Amino acid sequence: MTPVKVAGVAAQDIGDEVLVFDGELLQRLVGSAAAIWRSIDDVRSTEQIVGDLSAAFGSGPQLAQDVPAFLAELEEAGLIRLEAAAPGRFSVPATVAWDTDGNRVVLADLGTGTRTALSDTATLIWQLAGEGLTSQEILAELTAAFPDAPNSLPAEVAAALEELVGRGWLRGG
Amino acid sequence: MNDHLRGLFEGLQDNFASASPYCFALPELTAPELPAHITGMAGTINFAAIDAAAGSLLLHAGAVAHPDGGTAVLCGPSGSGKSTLTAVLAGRGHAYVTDETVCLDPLTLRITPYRKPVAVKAGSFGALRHLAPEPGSVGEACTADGMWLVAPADLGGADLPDAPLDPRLIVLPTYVEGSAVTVTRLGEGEAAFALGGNSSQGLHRVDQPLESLARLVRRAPAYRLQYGEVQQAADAVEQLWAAS
Repeated sequence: MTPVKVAGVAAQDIGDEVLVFDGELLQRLVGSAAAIWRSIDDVRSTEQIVGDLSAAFGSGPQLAQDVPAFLAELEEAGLIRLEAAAPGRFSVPATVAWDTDGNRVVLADLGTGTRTALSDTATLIWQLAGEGLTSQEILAELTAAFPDAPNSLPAEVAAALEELVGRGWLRGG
Repeated sequence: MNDHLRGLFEGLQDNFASASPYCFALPELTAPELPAHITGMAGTINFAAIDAAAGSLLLHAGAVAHPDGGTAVLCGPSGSGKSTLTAVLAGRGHAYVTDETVCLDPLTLRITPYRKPVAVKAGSFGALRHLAPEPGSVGEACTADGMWLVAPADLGGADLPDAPLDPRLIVLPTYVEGSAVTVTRLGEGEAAFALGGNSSQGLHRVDQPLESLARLVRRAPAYRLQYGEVQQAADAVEQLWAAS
């Protein structure tokens, strides 16, 4: 399962703590609850979050129980959704905004403020991935659109998708 | 028109009908319905002021200011003693800003004063005996509603400073009968959470509410103050203020 923050839920880091406001209720997250909330990036799965926090704090067995339990509480409170990742399919995280001039796209992470511009090729791949296609379907679309594409196209598509996911501009795959 | 205003207006019309078309007498101050009209109007004005400040960060708080504009914000729910503490601090010469709602610009945190009459509840009559309304005054008439409404000019504080009002100290008072004064410094997260829980109109009406709360607690240190005697509490606030 992948925890995904619900649109409209605001959060603010204050010192080591996090305040979360859903438009009605203000909640204060401290300690491990704050760390878990910060780990929710709409991309990492519950298992990945447990792994990352275990590596950081060294309390794996306890975290393996605490993280799913806390995520269930957050879902119950309407602050996140726990989504089952469709195997092989990509999606654009809710925190990613974008604009395009028709050929290229500029991406912005509304959570971190990070921005990036994609090349023409990467723009096509990102857009197709954002429509929910698998890597094989993306490759098929590009091969059909560009019959003269070099033989390296499959490797380039795979590399581009890996980087886009790694940088948080896509999730899943 | 609000029911209280309508009632008062209709009272005036009765006088108007029976006298000159140009001049009319105010209702007698001892009229039994007057306290309800006045306290009702005070409530109506409070709600209207809060409505008019949509977008601002409104905290359920009293406040007093120094001549340089530095302001102590005394934030808490009804019954926490903030009005009593505000009145005592004003009586010590600090400028009265409000006893009800501190209105902060969500970006600059500049405070807009709201110098409404201080509402002194029956539980504070003893501590604020010097503010008791004069016999026959409007204030005395209003005691029928269980509180004194004290005009800002009667508090004894300084005039509002010309300098912009800027939050320098946050105190969350709690009155506990018989308690000694205890002061606890709050972390920024705890302070922001406590302030957010004392929003006058709901955080959803504030522009960037969490960012505003974070700015506020980074700007001004926050303390929880438990007390049983208001003069001792005022001493503690002045010491914290001097150190902030």
